[in-house]
Amino acid sequence: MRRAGGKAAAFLPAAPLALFFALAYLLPIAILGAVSFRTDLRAGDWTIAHYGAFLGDGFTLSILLDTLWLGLQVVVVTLLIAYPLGLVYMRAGPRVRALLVFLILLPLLTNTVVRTFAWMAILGRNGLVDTLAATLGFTNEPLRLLYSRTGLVIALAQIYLPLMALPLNNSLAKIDGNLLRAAEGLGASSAHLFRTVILPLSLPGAVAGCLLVFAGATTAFITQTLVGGGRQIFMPLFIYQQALGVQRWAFAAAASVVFALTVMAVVYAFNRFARARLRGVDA
Amino acid sequence: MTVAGAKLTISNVSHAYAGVPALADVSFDVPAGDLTALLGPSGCGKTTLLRIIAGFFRQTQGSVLVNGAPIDDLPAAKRNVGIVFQNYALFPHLDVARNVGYGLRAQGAKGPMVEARIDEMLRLVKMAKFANRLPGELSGGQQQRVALARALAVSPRIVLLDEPFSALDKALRLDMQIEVKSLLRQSGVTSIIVTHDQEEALSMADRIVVLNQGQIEQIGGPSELYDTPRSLFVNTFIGHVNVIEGRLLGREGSALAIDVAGVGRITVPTDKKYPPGQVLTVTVRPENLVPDPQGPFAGTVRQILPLGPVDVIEVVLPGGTALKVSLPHAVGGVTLAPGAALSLAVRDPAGCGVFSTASAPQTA
Ligand SMILES: Nc1ncnc2c1ncn2[C@@H]1O[C@H](COP(=O)(O)OP(=O)(O)OP(=O)(O)O)[C@@H](O)[C@H]1O
Ligand SMILES: [Mg+2]
Repeated sequence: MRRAGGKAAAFLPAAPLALFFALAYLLPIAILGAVSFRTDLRAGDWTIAHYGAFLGDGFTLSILLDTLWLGLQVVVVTLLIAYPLGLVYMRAGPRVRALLVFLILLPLLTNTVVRTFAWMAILGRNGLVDTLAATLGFTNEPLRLLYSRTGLVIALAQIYLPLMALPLNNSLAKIDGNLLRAAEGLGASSAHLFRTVILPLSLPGAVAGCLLVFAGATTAFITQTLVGGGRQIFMPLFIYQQALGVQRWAFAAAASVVFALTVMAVVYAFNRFARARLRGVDA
Repeated sequence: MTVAGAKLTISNVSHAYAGVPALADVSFDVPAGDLTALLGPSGCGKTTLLRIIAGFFRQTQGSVLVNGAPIDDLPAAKRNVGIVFQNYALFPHLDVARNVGYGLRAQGAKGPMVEARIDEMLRLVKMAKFANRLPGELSGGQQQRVALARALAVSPRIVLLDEPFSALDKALRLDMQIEVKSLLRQSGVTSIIVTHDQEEALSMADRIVVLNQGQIEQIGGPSELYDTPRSLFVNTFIGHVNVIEGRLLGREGSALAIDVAGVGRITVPTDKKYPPGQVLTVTVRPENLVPDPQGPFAGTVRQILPLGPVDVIEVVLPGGTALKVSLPHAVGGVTLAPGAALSLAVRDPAGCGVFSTASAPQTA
């Protein structure tokens, strides 16, 4: 018992943080959860009608699925960029590695809103991409990337690349150089070596990166809204519109709960699936 | 499962890492099917040479030839050289069977043929029971066997082993040395074993290449290196040796007369020539000394080390030089006590070495 008391005392310095966490994070979630089961924000009875409305409506479900699909697209693009980058990082010396980490972290030093506006300038009509494409003679038509799905995926991929690249690089750098030499000495081509050694051994980093990027990209309200333009509606904007636009607070709360649970379920399922494949690999 | 080993030739190979030399003009042959040890102290360039042979990087100068044909332009994956790494480097995410089959599958083999070969290799290294274990679930010696099976499974022409036993404890090391030696013999493959352990080199290899600071000191069979070392470095690096300094008095027939401080005049047979008055280093192995009341080396016993099969007695001469003499163990051991007077004589003067002290290389 004394030991238990001692343990409690050890956690005492963390109490203010715990309190803050409870008030600023858990409480609002509890309220949100409670509201989602009310007929209305202020009055009314308990009901599950909002969930029924959300889940029974093809339109709202398509927004949810499309948001998950957007997250998946961004994950794939960041993976495709991060792996080649990681292979360079893996074989680089300490100085080049430090430079790469700096370059990867650089975007994080700029505020999301600023970066989003930068992407609007780059992707917009007569923006950098259009001008470049015209100058190089690819096309004279504006590419209409801003407000397009492609433009949005590109912008989100750039913004969330560090979350993929950092854990992946970490995993890749941990691979023992002798394993690569062993595979090579046994006659493995570069492609075979990548598929059978590098890929499986870097999975822990890739999985962590995928989860972070997926969670980030599906919930990136500002970037989705500004680069995507009001025409593409994803869950964050939809919830915002329902709550503040048409004042359907309880419905918005239910949509939030469904969205949050869905993202968590995808993350959990993916994690389970990946872990099962990680036999023998240091996580 | 007979694999024809290939003849390996290292021809004038030099290597520098960013301008810093690591190997200087190294040349030697390994006859087909032979087991050669590459022996030298830490940092002398053993791993560097191994990696050049395996093709992990290109030497600054010189050439590596297999059966007389240069392989310098072949990438590692095309050289058909098996490697056993010091840390085994087994693929941690693949089970024992998949590790052993890795090379065959990497080279495009499929199906029951691969399975059969994996079985054969696992039985050869007595690891069939462990086919489904991950490397992390094996002991050091077991991992070692899997690493060897993996390297041999692709029937390489040449196998390189980089300090393969350094992670094993002494008892297991001896077992594995015997086992690996017979496995390599059986498969007929040409092999190079890198080690900084002279006993390992002596016990395993047909021939030993002694490297020091990137250069070859001597090449020879185990007894040849032990009995007729060409340099003080080889003499002191291989086996134990007593080092005695003296001044050359002059030649006496087929021997040199040397004055040793606190001992007097000794003669050592050699045909080496030095100017009179030069400071020389005379070496004599502990087993080449015997207690002898008439012996020239009179001193006092400092300590007695009962090592099992031999008892080593350390005798300090008046000049301060300490000599070790090893005697076959007799039941009851040595009856002398520290402090006792003891005189030693050389059993066979032909087993002594003479080297000029001025050019003495550093000893390990
Ligand atoms: N990648 C490298 N870059 C620069 N110098 C290196 C590199 N690898 C080895 N060296 C240097 O080259 C020399 C030879 O190294 P090598 O690894 O071949 O020694 P070794 O004989 O295998 O030693 P050990 O018994 O300690 O393994 C050493 O001085 C080492 O510091
Ligand atoms: Mg080494």
